[in-house]
Amino acid sequence: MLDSYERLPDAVVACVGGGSNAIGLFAGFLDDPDVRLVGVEAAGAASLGSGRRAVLHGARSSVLADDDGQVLDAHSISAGLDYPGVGPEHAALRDSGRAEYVTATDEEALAAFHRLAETEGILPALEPAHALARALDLDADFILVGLSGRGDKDLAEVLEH
Amino acid sequence: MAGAETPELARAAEAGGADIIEIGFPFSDPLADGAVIRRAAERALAQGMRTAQCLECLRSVAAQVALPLIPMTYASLLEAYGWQRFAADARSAGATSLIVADLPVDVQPELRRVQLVAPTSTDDRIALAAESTDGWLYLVTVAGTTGARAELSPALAPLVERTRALTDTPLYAGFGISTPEQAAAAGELTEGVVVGSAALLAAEEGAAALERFVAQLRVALT
Repeated sequence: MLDSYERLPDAVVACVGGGSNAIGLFAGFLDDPDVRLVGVEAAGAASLGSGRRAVLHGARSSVLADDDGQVLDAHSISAGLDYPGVGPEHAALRDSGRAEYVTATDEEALAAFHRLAETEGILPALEPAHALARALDLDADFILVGLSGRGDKDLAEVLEH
Repeated sequence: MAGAETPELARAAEAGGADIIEIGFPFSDPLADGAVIRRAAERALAQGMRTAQCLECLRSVAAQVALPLIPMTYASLLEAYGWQRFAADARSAGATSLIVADLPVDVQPELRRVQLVAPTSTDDRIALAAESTDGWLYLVTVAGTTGARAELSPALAPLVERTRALTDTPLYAGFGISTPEQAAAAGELTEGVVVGSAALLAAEEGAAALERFVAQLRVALT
């Protein structure tokens, strides 16, 4: 960013399933407090938005789980976001306030896919299409969105809708 | 696995000659478990066996069986229930100790439990586990999940050797021990064996079948 634009972004936006691409993107900006970090989860798999403290797959983190600690089913049109847990670093960033986590629905992700395809000729994977959907809402001038994958793999799904 | 049939099955296991009974408290995502125990957990969860019901089951078993009882479960249940609250309530329901399959040795050190080590454990981790384990050390025979296997794991002997060099704590081998022959072979190396999936499979045929199976294991271990 500094080499190309000689400035840092106002906001960095990434989709969050398990959280790996998002934490990779956020990692470069954690110590830049003026850079907003925004993670976007699938509305049906909002581990950080709707989860509770639980232990899944070796991590104690924010998980979609019931009162007994039993893990609940997540849903997302995109496989990469369809996960009831999330990496614990994101839970820590949420709790400290350093990063904010919002959601996007299947429909919003599909709409964002179409919008990027039509305006830029880029097919995003449905996972980062969630990030794009919320990036459009942000009150910021210069936004870095992580396009974590290509949408070739999602064409069949997109065309069905 | 905790459920409606568990007290009868526990009595059968006791009659067959078991020394200790592990009672599974089912979890939605049992990473350490293969198909047999996973299916049993799914059935138990479908029956409504949540933590409170499992503790009631434990209480009922403790009233009918004289053996030490050890709930085996996953960290998420304790996180939700409260770690010390779970330990206290399990104990007052009749638990002698606990096994928490996905809880590393250095997390929640105050929670008294049977620790697990595996062929992938380093000597340092084995020493730490042996130091803090409650009564005996659970040697997981494979870098894998529970479930019947054709042969006793070749990784057990080297794990036992390494562990003996580090501690005098009694060692029990478990995972993949399915037949009396495998139990005998494991029993040559350790103080005891843990049989899970194979016992559950026998139990699917009824309490009498389980009692016969446990009796065969008992004979093989003498």
